[in-house]
Amino acid sequence: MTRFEKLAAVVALALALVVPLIFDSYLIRVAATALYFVILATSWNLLLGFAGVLSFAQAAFAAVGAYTSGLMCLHLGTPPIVGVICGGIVAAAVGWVLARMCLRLRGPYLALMTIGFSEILRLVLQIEHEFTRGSLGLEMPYLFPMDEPNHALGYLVMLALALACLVAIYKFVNSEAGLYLKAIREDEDIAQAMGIDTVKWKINAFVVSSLLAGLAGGLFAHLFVQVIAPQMLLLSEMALILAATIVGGLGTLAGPVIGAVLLVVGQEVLREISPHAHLLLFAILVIVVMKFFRRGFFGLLQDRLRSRGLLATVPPFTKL
Amino acid sequence: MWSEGDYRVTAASPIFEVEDASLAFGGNRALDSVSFNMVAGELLGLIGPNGSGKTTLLNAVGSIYPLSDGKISFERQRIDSLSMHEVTRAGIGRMFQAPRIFPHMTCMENLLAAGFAVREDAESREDLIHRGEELLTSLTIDRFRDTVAGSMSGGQRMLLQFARTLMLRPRLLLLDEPFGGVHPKLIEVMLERIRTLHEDGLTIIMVSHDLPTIMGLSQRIIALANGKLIADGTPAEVREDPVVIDAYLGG
Ligand SMILES: Nc1ncnc2c1ncn2[C@@H]1O[C@H](COP(=O)(O)OP(=O)(O)OP(=O)(O)O)[C@@H](O)[C@H]1O
Ligand SMILES: [Mg+2]
Repeated sequence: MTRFEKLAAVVALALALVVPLIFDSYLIRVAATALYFVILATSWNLLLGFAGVLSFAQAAFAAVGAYTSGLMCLHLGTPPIVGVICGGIVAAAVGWVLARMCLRLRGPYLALMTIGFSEILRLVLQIEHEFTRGSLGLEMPYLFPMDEPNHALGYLVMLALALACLVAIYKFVNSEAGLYLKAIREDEDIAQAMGIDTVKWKINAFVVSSLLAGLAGGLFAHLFVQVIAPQMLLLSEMALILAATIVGGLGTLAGPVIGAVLLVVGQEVLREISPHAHLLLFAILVIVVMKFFRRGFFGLLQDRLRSRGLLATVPPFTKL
Repeated sequence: MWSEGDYRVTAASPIFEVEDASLAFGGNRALDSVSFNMVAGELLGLIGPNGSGKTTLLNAVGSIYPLSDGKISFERQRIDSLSMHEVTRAGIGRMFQAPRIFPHMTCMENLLAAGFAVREDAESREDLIHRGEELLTSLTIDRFRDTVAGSMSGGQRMLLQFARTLMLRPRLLLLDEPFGGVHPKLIEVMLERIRTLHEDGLTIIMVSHDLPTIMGLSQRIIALANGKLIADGTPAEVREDPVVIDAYLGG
């Protein structure tokens, strides 16, 4: 990392740490929601931005994490923190199974399979209401044994997971795994002809991505949502993840972070106009970005910063 | 897998065997019962008119398309049912007719992706980077080390592709028109490298339409026409072969 990159990371972290000190409980919740989508967008970016795998199931994996934990609390009486960890593991396992089934397919077939998976899961959660409480909603006990939810504390927990997620993804993409994923994104046939076990690495990326989404889903639900419902799997949730990543900048580390913060704040501002206005905004933003600057906001910024020598020009993994 | 040959291991026993290989695209028999063997260290020239099946033969060896019939073995192991990456890891490196490099990755990333995928445990990241740098320097494209490959010219991409294939440390090297779009001076550089590899004992199959070059380089030439093997011999023999002359003029 260049000195500028380190400085930017430190400033961003400092700003993030100031949030619970200066904001009221409502705004802290908005900031925590932004962190939740930072994690989902960052982990989804590992798939589309790095490996070139288009999945519409990221919100579904967050729901797998949340429901696993909520159901364990309800039916087995497990403490939420154990439930969250199990939720991550179950999401990773489901991710592995789904990946095994459909990562041999490419392009639109894979995308369609993930939509199918997401919708089936949503319907099952809705129909099996005796077990899942369906549309009535599943109660998510607060993560810590406290009477009143503490939003500042919850925010810090989300921040910790978001940081862990960013560090994990940074390490992952700046290792040989990152080279394989990028090669797969660029040209899957040639990647395989160069000796890369493309299916195995796509599955690995899918499992890592699902694990992070599952953890985020469980944690956020226990901290800020209280009651979850199958609506969590609606494609409009997925739309926010997709829009945040694309608008921020696919295939970059900072892009999904910038995109998620921008869109969650935008969503809050527009909520006063109409409850669905934000979807219109996302759609327009995605179209504009795809048409005029495919590399997103961070992509635009990246060129400027790079030409001034502020960003690393050599991928760290290839430096001696 | 055992075959009769396993009992007769001599210096000249074949390391690469193609037996009755056929491959059809719909009704089009792009390879029609092709058979030939190679001994270790041989440099084989593969010629034939456009559409005769040269690329298809290399694709079959690399498991890009499955054979409809026949067998291919390398170092006494059947490779025709392996998947693409397994063939590469078995020691076969392939260079493509159209240079398909990874465009948004730097040259060094292009090389490392291949290097890591087949590396032996003893080789560290630093070793691979050093080897990559040597290759880039010897092919005169070291100034592009950290440039995204998509910004290079066609000829430079070909050189990068050559370097990337050599990163695989193949024991059988498949070259499909390696000089396409490359500047004559750089062709000389590549030829020099191919000669050195050959002298070091690497087994090579090279496809080229540049008959003088390929005839000068190889001791043995095979020719394809309409998916059939029509000649197999020394350059002099193949050059004089009326069937080959006919295939070229008729095609
Ligand atoms: N993917 C494919 N699908 C269908 N037909 C194909 C495919 N690849 C090759 N063919 C057909 O197989 C035959 C042999 O093609 P091939 O590319 O092997 O020729 P070639 O000898 O490499 O020609 P050139 O000298 O032009 O490179 C041609 O008739 C071609 O149309
Ligand atoms: Mg060809």
